[in-house]
Amino acid sequence: MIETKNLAKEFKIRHEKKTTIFEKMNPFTRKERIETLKAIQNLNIQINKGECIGIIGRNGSGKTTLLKMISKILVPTKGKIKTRGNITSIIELGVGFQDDLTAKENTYLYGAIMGMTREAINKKMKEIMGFSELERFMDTKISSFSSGMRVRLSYSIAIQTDFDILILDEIFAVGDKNFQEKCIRKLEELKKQGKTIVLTSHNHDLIKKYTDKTLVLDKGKKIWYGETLKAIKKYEEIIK
Amino acid sequence: MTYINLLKEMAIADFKIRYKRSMLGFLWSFLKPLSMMLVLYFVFGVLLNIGTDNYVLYLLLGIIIWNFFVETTIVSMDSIMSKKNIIQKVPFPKEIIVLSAAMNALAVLLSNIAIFLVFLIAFNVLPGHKSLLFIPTIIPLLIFSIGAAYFLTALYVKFRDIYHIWNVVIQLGFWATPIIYTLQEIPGKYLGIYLMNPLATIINSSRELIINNAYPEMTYIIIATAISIAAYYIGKKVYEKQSQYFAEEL
Repeated sequence: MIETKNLAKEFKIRHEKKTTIFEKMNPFTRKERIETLKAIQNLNIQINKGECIGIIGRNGSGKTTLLKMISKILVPTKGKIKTRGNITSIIELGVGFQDDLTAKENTYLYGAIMGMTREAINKKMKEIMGFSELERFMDTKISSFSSGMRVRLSYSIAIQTDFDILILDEIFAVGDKNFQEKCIRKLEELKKQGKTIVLTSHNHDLIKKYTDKTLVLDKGKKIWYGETLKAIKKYEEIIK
Repeated sequence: MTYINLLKEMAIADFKIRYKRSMLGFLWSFLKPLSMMLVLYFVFGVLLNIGTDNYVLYLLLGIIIWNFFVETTIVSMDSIMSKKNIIQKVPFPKEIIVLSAAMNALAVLLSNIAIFLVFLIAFNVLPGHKSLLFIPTIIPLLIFSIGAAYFLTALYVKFRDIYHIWNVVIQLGFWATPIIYTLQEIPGKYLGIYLMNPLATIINSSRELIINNAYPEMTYIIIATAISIAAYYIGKKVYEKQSQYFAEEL
């Protein structure tokens, strides 16, 4: 369950940002021009357990900011978010990886960041290797992995965690067709298990097919939250 | 439970990255204090001839403990930058970054102490049973260093010149801490100021325990521990508050 109440997030964009104490104290440096960007404004939504929710909107409409707030990466400027259940979020795939470590060592590290112990990962290692199709490369350094291989590995690890809520940001934009289909099959399986899923995508066919409800965001505001088909129509009205 | 597990995995990963999985790489961590000791011994012990008995041992132990403090703070600051990507994309307790740096510095400290014991024996100083009390002496050292690292790292994300400022402070601190000299040599009127620096007491007590097989001044230890706890508390509070915004500020 996820519930937002009057949720708002503002970013202060500092032009000529002062990042040193010296600059802050030096009266001769130019004044900072601060622009406030309202990434999310007064948002009230409720996502029930077991629902699969899509979020659509143009670039910069606040999709990722909202997901980051739900995942507790960012703190809201105003309002509240209530969540019940373990959250696993995949905001960008492959970011937790360290180039100097092997795929296997990275699996332990990334898994730990996602909340899994070494024993738990060892138990699931076969599945992770199978899903990512990287069995032969587990002792290779990540630095020689292609971006596609990194994505496959990180997704395979993340979905092994024990979560109630899964947050996916644009993950279907990466990986080849074969892997995308695999991800979608996994998504269906998770849906059947009653997991709550929140995902953003520019692929509206996918949104249409899998989500129960969809949130349309524009300039940080809620335009529509409800039936997916209608949501897509609303979205098309905006971009006209 | 997952917190401890994450700390363990991150500390292992940081260790492997740092020393590129070579044993020799880890040995380098002893060559640094050793070379520092040799230079300082040559200048102060040989040229100026002002050392006490077992000056080599005094120097080396002082440098090893001082290096733990420096490593914990500097590596924490480096680490927050190199982990920028993870901080912005994955939610996890940010304290782990500083604690992992401290764990790595602790591994270096303990191994350096082990090599130091070989030096002791080579210099015909057999460590007595009191040297075991060195182990609890590490606790205020840990608390103080982690507290300082929390504080500095939180500020560093906001003000990037903290890194350079801190490097200058470290250079001054090296001379202001009884490393090349002893706390006993400090005139009474300055002693109060020296005792404000927990590292002075920790280095002094360690020398007493390990090299002289003597009990250190208990009141000094109480003062150092109290200051360390205060530093930890302040550092932790600042870090807790600031770390919420790391994903935006980095």
